[in-house]
Amino acid sequence: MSALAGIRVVELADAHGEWCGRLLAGMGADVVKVEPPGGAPTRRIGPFAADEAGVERSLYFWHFNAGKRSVVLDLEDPAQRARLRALIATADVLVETLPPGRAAALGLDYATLSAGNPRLVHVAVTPFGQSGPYVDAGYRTTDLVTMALGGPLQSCGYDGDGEPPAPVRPGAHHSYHTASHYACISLLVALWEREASGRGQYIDVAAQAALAVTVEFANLYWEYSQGHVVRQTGRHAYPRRTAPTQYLCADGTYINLAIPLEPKAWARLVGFLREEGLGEGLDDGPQDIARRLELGGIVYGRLAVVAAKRTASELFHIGQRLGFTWGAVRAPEEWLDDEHAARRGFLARVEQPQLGRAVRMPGAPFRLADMAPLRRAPFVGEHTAEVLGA
Amino acid sequence: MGALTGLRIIDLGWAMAGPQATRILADFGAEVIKVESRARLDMGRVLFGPHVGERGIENSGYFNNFNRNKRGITLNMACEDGRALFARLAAISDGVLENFSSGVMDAWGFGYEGLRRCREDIVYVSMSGFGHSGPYRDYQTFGPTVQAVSGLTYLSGFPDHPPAGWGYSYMDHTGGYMGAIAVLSALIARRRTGRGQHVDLSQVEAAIALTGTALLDYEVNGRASAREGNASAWPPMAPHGVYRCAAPADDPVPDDHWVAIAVEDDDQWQALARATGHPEWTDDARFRAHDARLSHRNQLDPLIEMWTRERTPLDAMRVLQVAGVPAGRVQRSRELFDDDPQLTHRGLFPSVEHPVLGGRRIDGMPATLSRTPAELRRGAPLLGEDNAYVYGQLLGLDADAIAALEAAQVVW
Repeated sequence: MSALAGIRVVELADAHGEWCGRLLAGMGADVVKVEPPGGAPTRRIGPFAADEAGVERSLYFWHFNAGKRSVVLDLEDPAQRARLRALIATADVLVETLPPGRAAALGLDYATLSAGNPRLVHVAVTPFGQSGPYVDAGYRTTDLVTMALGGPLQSCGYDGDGEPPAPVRPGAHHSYHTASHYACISLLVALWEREASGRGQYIDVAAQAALAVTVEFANLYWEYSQGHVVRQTGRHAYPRRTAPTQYLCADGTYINLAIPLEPKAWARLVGFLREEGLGEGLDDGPQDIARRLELGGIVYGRLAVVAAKRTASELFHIGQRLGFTWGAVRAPEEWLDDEHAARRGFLARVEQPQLGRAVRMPGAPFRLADMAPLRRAPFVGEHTAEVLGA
Repeated sequence: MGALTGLRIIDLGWAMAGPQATRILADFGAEVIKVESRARLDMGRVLFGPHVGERGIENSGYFNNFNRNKRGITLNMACEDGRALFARLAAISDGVLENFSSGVMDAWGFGYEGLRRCREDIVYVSMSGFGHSGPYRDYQTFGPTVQAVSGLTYLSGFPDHPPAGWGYSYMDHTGGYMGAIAVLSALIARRRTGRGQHVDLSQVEAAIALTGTALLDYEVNGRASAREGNASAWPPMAPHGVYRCAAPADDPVPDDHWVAIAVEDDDQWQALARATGHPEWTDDARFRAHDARLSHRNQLDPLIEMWTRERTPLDAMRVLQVAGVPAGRVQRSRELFDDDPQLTHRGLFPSVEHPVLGGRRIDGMPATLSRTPAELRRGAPLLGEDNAYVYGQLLGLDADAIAALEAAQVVW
């Protein structure tokens, strides 16, 4: 049996909570997604299979809802709301992303739900939380705006000469991922605690706050030295500029390089540069870390020359076999043809009747014992009868 | 009483990903015992700052942030007596978590089978870069490597520019979040089955899972991944971007102030045009309808920026939010800590006392549990600060025995 077998989760969630449900479903929980008639709004987010829009063709929905069951209930209808409450009365966990105040208006607030099910763990995931100035003012947000208000954008972008170029959103959905990670962690904590106390509890997760503790150095430099970080291409933002680490390779793709500072690794790097005919003037093993740091600029210049002669993939494997933390900047789809991913069985194969075939998608981010194969995302209301009875 | 009080976890984590995972468990009350050695100091103590005063081993803000609430012991795993002590500690612990390169634990005799000999139902979570199997199992990573090879870096940046990547180790945080989830799930499974397990977490695989629909779009539609800068193809939005603003009065940084704006629909577009004093924009055929704005976004963005340049990020955000348009200041940590009323309301950055660093604010808990909230008990441990508690109270050694182990560089 999978790790979370026997745990029933009711998900009443938009993008802020769908990744949490996907993680739980992957670990064996029975995640019942409650959708409005016509399907959840996230079914309208593309890209779509064959670029034909449709509630059963959203690749976004497939990715974020694999492994769940779907029940359709109209929350505008009091009788159907009562059925939802009856469903939640059988659940271990409720993950909801309703705007603050909406749950109470629907009779789905924790006080009401826990009266019928004291063991319920009720997780509310919202952009800003359940109360506070931004909530009172009705602030609106999107993934990009939350990434700005939460702090990640201050650190992400390009090197610039003079006036700093604009911050760049480092890919989509990460405010949702991060909120969902904290939702998932905290509900598991509450499930663990429930075995001792016999009681569930209410959990308020805010995406902005989740991001604001997911920015590494920027917070530390402010708290300890009232400093600001400067954005840099492909590497850490720091208060001061550091040497570039991302280099263009012969095949037009990039590699991320780092110079090892540990003496033995340094000697291997110098040896490698000698073999490449680029070792002139480099000491074998200067014992002084300051000296190695001083030589760093020269070494990066030589590595840029090496990169220009190799593909990123070649240099990735060469560097790694020498024990360096080098990484090719890969497109995600390169993992479809990767030997390592294949040997580890990382990719999930999921049957999609819409296509009449199985497709590969990223599998579980980590594997627990006895995990069941990932199931496709459900059709709209596919499990309504099965879950609610006739 | 914390939610996880009674659980004991051995933390062999170092740098950030491992310590991030166990920090969360400690915040909820687990007894996390961080194992360190003078023979091989955590780079979080030494390399990563900021250090207060001269670089030392007890004054890193980084180390304090990622290791508060934990107990700390010194133990030299390179010697046999050290490993024997570790085995005794494992025997009384619920879980072990580490983020070493693959192979380190096996070399010590504490791969999963070795740990099981210490305690049959132990939960073991390894968090190496590429996992413990497969051809890349010995490859080594840090945050930027994980982000590069997974595809996360590739997806960040403008389409006609190189990848911009991430300006920090997002995957050290997020690998840590996954590690905490793995520990908790395995413990919940153990309660039902009576069995422990080894969770082989690959930070690269965790990162690939966060590349969204990129891989699926290629698999289904044959479409190669593309960077989109600050645009939003899905959901389609325009204007959607990060726009330059004026510097607030007295701000020491003259030229790095921005506001993010995302217009989801025609109503918000009309509201933006009114709020910015440019109702004529909504009559312009290029911008009137959603689809038209999307195809003319390069002509739209400069107009928006003409307006934002005259305002501070805070002013621009307020004007637009009052009008019902999603907009947010690009907040620096200065604003996160000291000028955001919402984060202040949540008390997100509580202060903790550290014997060397004094009272310092740290990254708090963004999930508020109604009955068993996260708690702050102490700053990060000094090197070996809890040796007496762990070796004395938990393992029952007397003071002389501990002193002898210290002299022999076992407790070291």
